[in-house]
Amino acid sequence: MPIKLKNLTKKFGDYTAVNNITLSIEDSKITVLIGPSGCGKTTTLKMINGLIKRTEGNIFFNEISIDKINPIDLRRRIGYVIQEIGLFPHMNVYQNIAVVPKLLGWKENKIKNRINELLELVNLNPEENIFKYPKQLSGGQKQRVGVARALAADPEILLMDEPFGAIDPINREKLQDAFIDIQEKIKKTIVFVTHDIREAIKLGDSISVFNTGKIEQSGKTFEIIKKPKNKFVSNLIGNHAEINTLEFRKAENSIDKDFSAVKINASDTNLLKEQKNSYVIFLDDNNNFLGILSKEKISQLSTENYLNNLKTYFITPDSTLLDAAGIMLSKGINTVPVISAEKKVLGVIKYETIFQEE
Amino acid sequence: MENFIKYITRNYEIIIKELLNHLSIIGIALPFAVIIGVSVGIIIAGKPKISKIIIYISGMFMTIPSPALFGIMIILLAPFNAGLGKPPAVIALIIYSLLPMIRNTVNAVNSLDHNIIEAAEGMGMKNYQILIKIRIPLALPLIMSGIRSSVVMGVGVATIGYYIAAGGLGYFIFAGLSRSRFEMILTGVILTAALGIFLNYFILKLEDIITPKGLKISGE
Ligand SMILES: Nc1ncnc2c1ncn2[C@@H]1O[C@H](COP(=O)(O)OP(=O)(O)OP(=O)(O)O)[C@@H](O)[C@H]1O
Ligand SMILES: [Mg+2]
Repeated sequence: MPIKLKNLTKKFGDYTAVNNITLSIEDSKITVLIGPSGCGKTTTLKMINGLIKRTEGNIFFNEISIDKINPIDLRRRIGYVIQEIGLFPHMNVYQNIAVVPKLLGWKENKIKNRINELLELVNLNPEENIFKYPKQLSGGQKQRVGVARALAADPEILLMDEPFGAIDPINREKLQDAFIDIQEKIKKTIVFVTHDIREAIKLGDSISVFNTGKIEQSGKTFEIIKKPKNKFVSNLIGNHAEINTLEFRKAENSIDKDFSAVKINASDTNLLKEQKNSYVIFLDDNNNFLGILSKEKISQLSTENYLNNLKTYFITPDSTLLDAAGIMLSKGINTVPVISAEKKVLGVIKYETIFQEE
Repeated sequence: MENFIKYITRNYEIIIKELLNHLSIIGIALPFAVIIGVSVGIIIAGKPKISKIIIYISGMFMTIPSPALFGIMIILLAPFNAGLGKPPAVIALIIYSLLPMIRNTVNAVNSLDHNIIEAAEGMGMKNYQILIKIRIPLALPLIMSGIRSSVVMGVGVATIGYYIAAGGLGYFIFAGLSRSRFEMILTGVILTAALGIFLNYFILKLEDIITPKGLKISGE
């Protein structure tokens, strides 16, 4: 469900915590709010689920004003991971996650199945953890339970306030990876608050940069990195952001289908010359990947020597563009094949694609 | 000491009778005090101004010396033909117990982690659901300790019941005092103290049973 914030303002007494912000939050995408402490990120999230009443402006869900929606119903349709996690200490993991499904009157059996499913989703062993109390969990485990709890009733929207803040860098990285996988499956509209630009770039489809209650810039993650609008934004994203993003971009999303592939047994000089790309991928009789050769190399070789000279480097769809760039730079080439687990050619990653604007 | 043992063995019937009397005063007053104190506490907990006033007023009641309060009770209840005996003692005891009960309940409910309440609100729980499912279970241990201090105090206060013919362990103490019978006083004091210690222990156990499991774990 898309959310629109329109000229949204929040004043606490004389202090303006959120100052006239306008933002479109895209359906089924992760929108990251980033900015220094006290810039109004949490306040913005809480206005979205009505925990804080706005002073001015409006919020629309699917074009419907928040004023026309019952706040209790709204909150049950929005999963909320609060900054402090806020698990209920007197309830075990099961009971914590079951709260909203119970409020919605789900049957016990359905709840049970859902909780098992959710715990696996956030990578917690259900048997080991379901009867543990919050005090018996580590910080990272608590945050996972917090995320599972927010997802429990399959909400259309997720508001996540620094959900991985309390976790050490290594586990944070793992949780982020898990989170990306989860979002790939569930495709929720997510508003994700963070302090950490690396996290923002990794997770965000879009980023909104907040500063003292205002939005400095918002847009697709790539736009923000390519064209920071001002000093504040460019300082925030730092110097190597562009290279850093490669690490977070999956190869499968940048596959170029325009490639040349021929069966090695059917290849003759003319057929190869006709191929319009500068590289040719060779296949066996079952259309499985064998290797790749540049046209320049092909012209130096006789047909029977192709097989011996094939370059067999490739990447898999779940590799990152950084992997692709690494191969390109070390081998001095500008095309890397993407090969499926079944050895089929899915396409190629080209140098231009990697460094092109999205 | 010999006198004391002689006294006990000769008077065990009256001792048991007054002990039961004493317990019944506390036993009748306590449920009322708990129901009134805890519900008032819960109702006013979210309202700082009202809480302040009510705690102040119930604090004032507590500063009334107990003989005076019993006296007032006699005068107030006389028109209903209940000026003497158990009713005034029970009512006085309820009034005394209210302050610790209300104050502990208010503190218990308000001292909850703000974030937990916010999480509950954010999940779409209604106020009464938050009260029943979150606030009260989490506040229960503290509420219980309010009940405990009321009860222990009540054991002492109920001795005054002797003066208004409500009976109870006060008989041994005050009658003993006026007759200068040391063994009687000793009997009253020991029984009162023992009863207080026992009830304290008993409610402590109850507190432990009633405390949600998740709050007792100290981390593994
Ligand atoms: N209830 C409140 N009353 C008064 N001021 C508040 C209140 N809530 C927040 N503020 C102020 O509003 C500003 C924005 O707060 P907010 O919690 O939205 O910041 P944030 O961007 O989430 O910061 P952080 O990254 O530290 O969590 C802060 O200066 C804060 O002190
Ligand atoms: Mg915040």
